[in-house]
Amino acid sequence: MKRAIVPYFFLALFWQVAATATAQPLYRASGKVTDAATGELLIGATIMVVELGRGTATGTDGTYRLDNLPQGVYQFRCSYVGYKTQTATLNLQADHVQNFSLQTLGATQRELTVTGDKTREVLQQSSQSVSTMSKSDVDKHRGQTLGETLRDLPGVTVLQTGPSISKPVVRGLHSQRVLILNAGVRQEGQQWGAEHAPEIDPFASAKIEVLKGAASVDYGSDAIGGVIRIEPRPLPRENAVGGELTVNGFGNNAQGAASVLLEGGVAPLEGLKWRLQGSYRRAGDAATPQYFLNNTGFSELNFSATTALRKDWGDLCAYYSRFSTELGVLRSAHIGNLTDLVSSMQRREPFFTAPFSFSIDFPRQRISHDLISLRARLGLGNEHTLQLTYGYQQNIRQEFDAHVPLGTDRSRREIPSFDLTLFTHTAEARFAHAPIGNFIGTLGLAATAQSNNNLGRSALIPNFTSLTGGVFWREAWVSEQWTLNAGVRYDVRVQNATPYGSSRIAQQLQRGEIQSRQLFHTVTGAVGALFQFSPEWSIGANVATAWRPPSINELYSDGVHHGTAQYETGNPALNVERSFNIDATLRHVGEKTRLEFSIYNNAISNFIYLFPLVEPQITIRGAFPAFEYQQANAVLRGIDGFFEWTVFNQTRFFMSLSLVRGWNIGRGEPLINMPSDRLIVGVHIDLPEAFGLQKTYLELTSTQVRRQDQFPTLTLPAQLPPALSDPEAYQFYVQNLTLPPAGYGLLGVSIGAEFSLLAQQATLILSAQNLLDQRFRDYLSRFRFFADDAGRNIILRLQLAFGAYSDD
Amino acid sequence: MLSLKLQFIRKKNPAAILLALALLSLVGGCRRTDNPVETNEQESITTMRLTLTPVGGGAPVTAQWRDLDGAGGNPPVITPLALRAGTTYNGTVEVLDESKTPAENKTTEIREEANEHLFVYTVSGGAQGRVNITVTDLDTNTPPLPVGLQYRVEVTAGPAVSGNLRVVLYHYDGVRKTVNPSNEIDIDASFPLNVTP
Repeated sequence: MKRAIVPYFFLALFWQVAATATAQPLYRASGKVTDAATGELLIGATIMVVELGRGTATGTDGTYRLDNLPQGVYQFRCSYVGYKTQTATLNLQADHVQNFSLQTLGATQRELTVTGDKTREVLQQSSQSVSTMSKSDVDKHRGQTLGETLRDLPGVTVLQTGPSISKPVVRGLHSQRVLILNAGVRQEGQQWGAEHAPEIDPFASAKIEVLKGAASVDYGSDAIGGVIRIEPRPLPRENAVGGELTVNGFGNNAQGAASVLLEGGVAPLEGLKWRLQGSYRRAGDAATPQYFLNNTGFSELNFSATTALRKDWGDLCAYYSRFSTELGVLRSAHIGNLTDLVSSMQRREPFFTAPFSFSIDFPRQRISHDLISLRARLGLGNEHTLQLTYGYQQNIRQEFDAHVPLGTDRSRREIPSFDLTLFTHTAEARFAHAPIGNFIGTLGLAATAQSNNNLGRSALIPNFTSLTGGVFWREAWVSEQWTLNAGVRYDVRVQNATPYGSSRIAQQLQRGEIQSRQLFHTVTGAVGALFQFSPEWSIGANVATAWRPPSINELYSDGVHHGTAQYETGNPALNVERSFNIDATLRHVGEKTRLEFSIYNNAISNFIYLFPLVEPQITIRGAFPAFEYQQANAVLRGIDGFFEWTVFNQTRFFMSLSLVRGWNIGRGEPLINMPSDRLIVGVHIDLPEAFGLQKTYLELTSTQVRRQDQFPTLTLPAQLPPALSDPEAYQFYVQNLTLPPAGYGLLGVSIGAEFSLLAQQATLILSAQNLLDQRFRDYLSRFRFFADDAGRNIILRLQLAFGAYSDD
Repeated sequence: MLSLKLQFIRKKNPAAILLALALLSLVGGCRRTDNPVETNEQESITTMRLTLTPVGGGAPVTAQWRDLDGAGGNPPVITPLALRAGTTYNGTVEVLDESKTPAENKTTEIREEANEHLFVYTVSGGAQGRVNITVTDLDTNTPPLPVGLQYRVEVTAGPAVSGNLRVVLYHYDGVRKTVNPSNEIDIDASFPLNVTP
C-alpha cells in the first residue's frame, strides 16, 4: 500500500512544480459519481483527464477532486467496473463541478437504454415476466416462509404441508421446476419433496425477484416454471456501524420471531464492508377456527455473515448462511393405511385435537442448510467484465417417523427414518463483453457437483453423485425502443446411483438390473423481443426452452413416504423433461396507473408427475395409497398480471390475478394438482400524518380462490384388487382422492406507520390474515384430507433501525 | 479440543468466532458418517400365520399371509382359512420375519409387550354372524385387557358361506391401552374365509 502511494506523491509534486514554473492559472475540477438507475454513490470510480494522463478515484462519499489543472479543454473519462464508461468534454476556465451518472453493464438487457428513468427501467426490464418485491414489500411479510411471502404475486401460489411447510408454485409448477437462487447460488436441498420447504431465512432477503417462465439459457436445468432470485441487501456505503432489529408476534400459533442485523465498514481498509445477521423463530400449534393443528410448531435458528471488498478493479463478496429448523408435522396426518386415510377424509375434524402446545413431537423434520457463496466481479479493461461465483452447500434433512416397526424399541424413533445429506458445489463464470455497436452479451460456463448420502433407518432415494456442466452464450441488441435478445446453452449431466436400503428398486440397482449410471444432455435456447411503443407502454415476447433431467426420487424412489402414508414408486426409464414456453407481457407505467399482464403457453414434453394408482399397495400393515411417477406430454396455459390505480392522491386500488390450466395430453385429462384460480383485490389508503406517525396506511385485501374444476378422476376397477382388508374404504378412496375442496374467500387487513423512537426510525405494522376466521381447505394443501387450513392470524411487526442504518 | 476453541473465542474478535463456528460445523458434519443403522425396518414382518385347533380334537387348520419381499415387488401370498360349520376352535397367531435367516419370531416380542398391543379379529361378508371370534387371553394392565394372541372361534351350524377375516394389530405407543383402535397399526391383513358344512 505505502509503496503505491510514493509514485503518486512524486507525480503530484511534479505537477506542482510544472504548474508553478509556467505560472499559469490553476483550477479545480470536482464532482460526484452516481449510479444512473439508483442514484447510489459510486466509491472507487476512476476519473481520468485523457490529455494530461492524470487521474483520481472517488472516495467513500462518492466524490472526486482534481486540483491544479491548467486552463484548457479536456476529455474527462469516468469509468467504473460493471458500468458503461462516460466521457465529458470540459473547457476549463474556472473551477468546475462535473458530475457523472453511470449506467450499469450487468447481466440484464437494459444496459444501454437506462437513462436513470424509473419508468423506463420497469418498462424495459425484461422480455419475460418478472415480479419484484422490494425490501419494503418483503418487510410486510417478515417472519413468514418464502412461499407465504410470495403468495400474493401474480402467477405465484403456494403448496402447503401444514402451517410450517410451504413451497412457492410459479405458474402451476414447483419443487424441481422452480429454481431458487440464493445470493447468486442455486439452492440445492432435497427440493423434490412436496413437503420439503426451501431452506431460506425469511429475514435475510432484501429483494426477491420471480422470473416467470422457462429460463434455462441463463440458469441451466430446472428453470422450467421460473426462477426465484433472493438477494441480501447491498452492503453499506459508510463505515459507521448500524443495524436493524425486527420483532414479530403471530397470534394464531403464538409465533415469536426476531432478527438482528449489524453492518459497517472497516476503516483501515477502504472498501471493505461487513454484515452479521441472525434470526430466530419459534411457534406452537397453529389454530383453525375450530381446533388446533397439533404438532405443527417449529423452532428455527438462522445466521448469516457477509463481507465484501469494493475496489476500482472490481469487487469481491463472501457470504455464509446457516439455516436450521426443527418442525412438527401434523399429528393427525400421520396415518396408518388406507382405512385410516378414508376415515380421516370422512371426518370433519382430525383424529387428534388437543389443547395448544409448543412441543414438537413425532413425526417431525430436522433440517440444516449451510451455504457459502463467493462472488467476484472483475473489470478486465475495455469495459469487459468477468463475474465468478462459487457456492458450497451442505443440506442435512432428517425425518422422524412416529411409527417404529413391531417389536422395536420406542427409543428408535430418535433415529431418523430418513436422513439425507446432500453436498453441492457450484461454480460459474460469466464474461460480459464490452458493447460492440448495439450488441451486449455474456458468455458463461457453469458446473455443479453433488453427492447424496443416506444414513436413516430406511431410504426413499438411493445415494448418488452427479456432475453437471453447461456452457452458454447470450447476446442482446439494444436500441432506444427495442431490445432483441437470443441465447443458447448446452448442458450435460452424469448421475450415478448406489443403492441404499433393501427396497425392490434398491435390490435391482444392486444386481445391476436397472441402470445406475445415467447420462443426460440437451441444448436449450431462447429468443426474446421487447418494444417500448410509447413512453408509458411496452410489450415483450419470449420463446424459450428449458429442461431438467428426471430427479433421483422420480427415477428410484420406492417406499412409504414418511408422514403421508403414500407408497411412491419411481421409474428408472424416465426421460429428460423439456419445456417450450411462449409468453407475452404487456407493461404500463403511468402517472396514476400501473399494469403488468402476461399470457403464456408452456408445452412440456415428457412431463413427469406423481399419479395415484387405482391399485393400492398391499402390505402387512394394510393397503397403502400407491403413487407412481409417470411421464406424458403436457401443456400449461395461463394468464397472470396485476393492475394498480391511484384513484385519489391517497387511495390506490390494486388487483392481482393468477389463472393456470394444465392439460395432460398423454392421458387426455386435466393435470393433477394444478393451483386453483386466484384473484386478489385490495385498496391501500395513505393516512395523514398525526401524532408523529408518518407514512401511515391502511390496506384491505380480499383473496378469492375458485374451486378447482379441472382435475383427473380415478375409476374403480371392475374387479376389486385381491387381498384388500377393507374394500369399502378402498372404494371411497378411489372415488374421492382427486376431488378438490370448495373454493373460498379470505379477507386481510393491515395498518402500518413509521415513527421516530429514541431518535431512530421505527416501523410498526399490525395486520390480520383471514380476518373473518373462515374455515377452508386449499386444493394444494397436502393436509386437505386431514384438517382445515389455519384460521385468523393477527400479526404485529416492529422494525427498529439503529446506528448508521438507512433503509433504502 | 473444544474447550481450547472456546478459550480462543473468548479472547478473539467476531471474525475468529465465525471461523471457529465454521470449523465446529464441519467437525459436526464429519461425525455423522460413523452411525450405521439397520435399514428398512418398516418391512420386518413378512408372515402372519393363524393356527386353529378344533376343541373336540382333530387336525388343526392354518391360514397364512406371507410377503417375503416386503412391500412392493411381488404381491403377498395368502392361503384362505377353511372352517367347518358347527365347530369350535382354539386359535393362536404367529408373526414372523422370514426375510432373515433363521426366521425371527416376532410373536415373542408382542407377548413381551402385551400391555401395549391388541389383536382385533373382524369377520365380514357372508360369514358374518356365522363365525364368532372371542379373544381369550389377558394382559397385566389393571384392569386386565385382552391381547388376542389366543382366541376362540365358534362356527355355527348351517350351509356353506364365505367371507373375510381381517386381523389388525394395534399398538398403543406412548398412550394408554384401551379396547378401542389406536392410530398405530402394526398389522392389518385379511384372509378369505370359507365355511363348509
